[in-house]
Amino acid sequence: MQSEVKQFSHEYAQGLWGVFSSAAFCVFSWSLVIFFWDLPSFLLRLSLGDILGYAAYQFLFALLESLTVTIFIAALGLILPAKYLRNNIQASGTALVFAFAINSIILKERLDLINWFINVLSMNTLTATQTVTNIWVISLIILPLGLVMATKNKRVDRVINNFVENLFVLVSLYVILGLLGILLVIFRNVS
Amino acid sequence: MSPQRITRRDFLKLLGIASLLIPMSKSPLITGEPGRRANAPTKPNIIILLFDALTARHMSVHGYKRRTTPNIEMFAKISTTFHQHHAASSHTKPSTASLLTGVYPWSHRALNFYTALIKFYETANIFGETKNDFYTQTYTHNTFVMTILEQFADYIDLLKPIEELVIYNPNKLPNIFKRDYPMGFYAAKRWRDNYMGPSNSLFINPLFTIANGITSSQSLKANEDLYPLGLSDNQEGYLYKLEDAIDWIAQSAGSTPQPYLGYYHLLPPHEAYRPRADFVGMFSGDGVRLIEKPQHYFTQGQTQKQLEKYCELYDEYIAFVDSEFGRLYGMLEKNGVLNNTFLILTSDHGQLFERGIHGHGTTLFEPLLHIPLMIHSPRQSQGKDIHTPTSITDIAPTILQLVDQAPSNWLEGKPLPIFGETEEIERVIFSIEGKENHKMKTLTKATFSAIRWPYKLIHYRGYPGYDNVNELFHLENDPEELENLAASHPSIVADLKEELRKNQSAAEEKSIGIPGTSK
Repeated sequence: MQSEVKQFSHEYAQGLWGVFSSAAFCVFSWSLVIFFWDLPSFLLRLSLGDILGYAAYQFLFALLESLTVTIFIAALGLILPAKYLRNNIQASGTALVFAFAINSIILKERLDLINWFINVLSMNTLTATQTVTNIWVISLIILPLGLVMATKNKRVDRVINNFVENLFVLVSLYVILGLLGILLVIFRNVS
Repeated sequence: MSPQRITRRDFLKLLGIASLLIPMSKSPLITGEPGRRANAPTKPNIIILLFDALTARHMSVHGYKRRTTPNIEMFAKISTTFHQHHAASSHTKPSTASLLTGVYPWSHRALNFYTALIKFYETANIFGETKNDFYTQTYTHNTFVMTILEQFADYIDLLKPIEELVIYNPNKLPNIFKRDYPMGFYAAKRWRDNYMGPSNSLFINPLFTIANGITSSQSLKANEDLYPLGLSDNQEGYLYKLEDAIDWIAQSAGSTPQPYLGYYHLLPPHEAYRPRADFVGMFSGDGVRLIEKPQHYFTQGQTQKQLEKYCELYDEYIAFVDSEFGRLYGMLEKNGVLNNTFLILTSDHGQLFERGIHGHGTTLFEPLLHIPLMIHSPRQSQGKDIHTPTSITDIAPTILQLVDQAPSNWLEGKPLPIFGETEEIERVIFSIEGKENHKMKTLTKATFSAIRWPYKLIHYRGYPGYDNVNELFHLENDPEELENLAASHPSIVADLKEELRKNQSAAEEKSIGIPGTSK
């Protein structure tokens, strides 16, 4: 019995490392996208030291956010019945992370999306706003459920697990950036 | 060498100065007695009360056609009013930094929200220079100002956090990066909020956005009877009532260790305009129209009708600010604080409702630069009017003069003429809008203004399609700045440009070590 518990804990922890990898991949990648979006204006205004300082803060926050997301999914896995998350935490957790990431991006980019609907599909403002809101609400509910259900399919499960394993190298780099960020932030705040 | 003759004009000037000195000689500031030293009980307090984005051009005390400032009009009757006072920039951070340091933005380099003042001014400011003379306390609703005050924190006894006088605080996380202002603050804000673009946070930010939306709407609903247009909002999500800050300033005036220097930077009437119910609609349908001016190169495309609607709300918000100022004055008078206090009423920059532009941005027209300055000295009972152009950079040297300090060599401002200084009509007053520049490089893309009464030059540098453009106005004959005289007065343009070049070069050589690089 004890060895079974140990075995479960080990597998769960391994699965959570996969969840952390996908969370870090999403969070750091988004953070870098926004950082590079900001960079041209920073180059105009800030010194190199300040730009590095700003990047350090964003890496620190990204690391903390990745950990928070992982802890949240770990807790969810323990609370929900085993068949939903716990039994294949790596694939289901990853599916959840990506589902919420997509939702978040829709929420952040809703103004651009509304403009896209207006300009490309010639919708009026009200219809475009309503359409984007509907897409967001539907994706908020459907996407997580759909993706988690999809992981019940062995092929989907395998694809996700392979993808997560391929993330390890990139995520290791991200974690190093996060740790460097912590050091630089500490330095800036004590010096 | 022929003996110097005193002209009739000089004689009248001397007479004017002498008349100012007589009532002031009763003040402990002027007597030169030992009582003027630090912590002496007779030393007066100084309160600087600043209302953000309050243009003198919309105040009835300065001749505006709507009666926006009846209380300030009363205050002017017992204060010294500076009728040509000018901001150092068209927006908060550079101009406020100039007020507190006494130098122009090309020296302190707080050119935009991201950048801090250069290290030297962390000490060289009104708090650092008077640390032995006053107990110092500050409050502001404005996070931009907070980033400046945090840099001076070592010299401020009470730096009251924004959160303490707001109704709704969106920032539930304590700011743990205070040692790294403003970068730590900005980075945390950019991560948490969709501020100046989508946030860096993918998961935490949506939770904040949704939670803030729900709770702030509850606060707004709870106050909708008194604030039908919504509570005042500092554009960072904080909701507040101006009344709370006014009450605190009045209460603390009685209980603060004396003498003290209080700097209170309150956000109204800065947009979003949210007057209290009793002021909403007070100017609606009064027939007052804005002068229609041609669209400017930097127009935002606002129609005259839109500008008039904004202007009406702004004026109502000013009337609300004025009533709160009247209430504060009443409380300070009642508790006797004014018997021993200099009360300075001013602003950091103005607001524009013309040429297709609403707000405060790239241009430097008078509604953006012409700001109020009134100083009520202890027991002053007569109003005085000063028409000489003055600058926001003059406030710091004036305060240093109050505490008997010799003018420091880093100051670019001059003591205000109220305290016996000769009025310097030939002086050039500068303003700079350079938020798109690197902190440590010379200003290459910026708008400059140089006023040598009655001429004002606005010089645009480095803007694609509007580079090296000059606009020259005669402020006495053309206060609305409608006729550009640059082509017909090339020598005045050349003189003022030379003044700009000389002063910018000297300042940048001192502050960032780049000699003579400005064109």
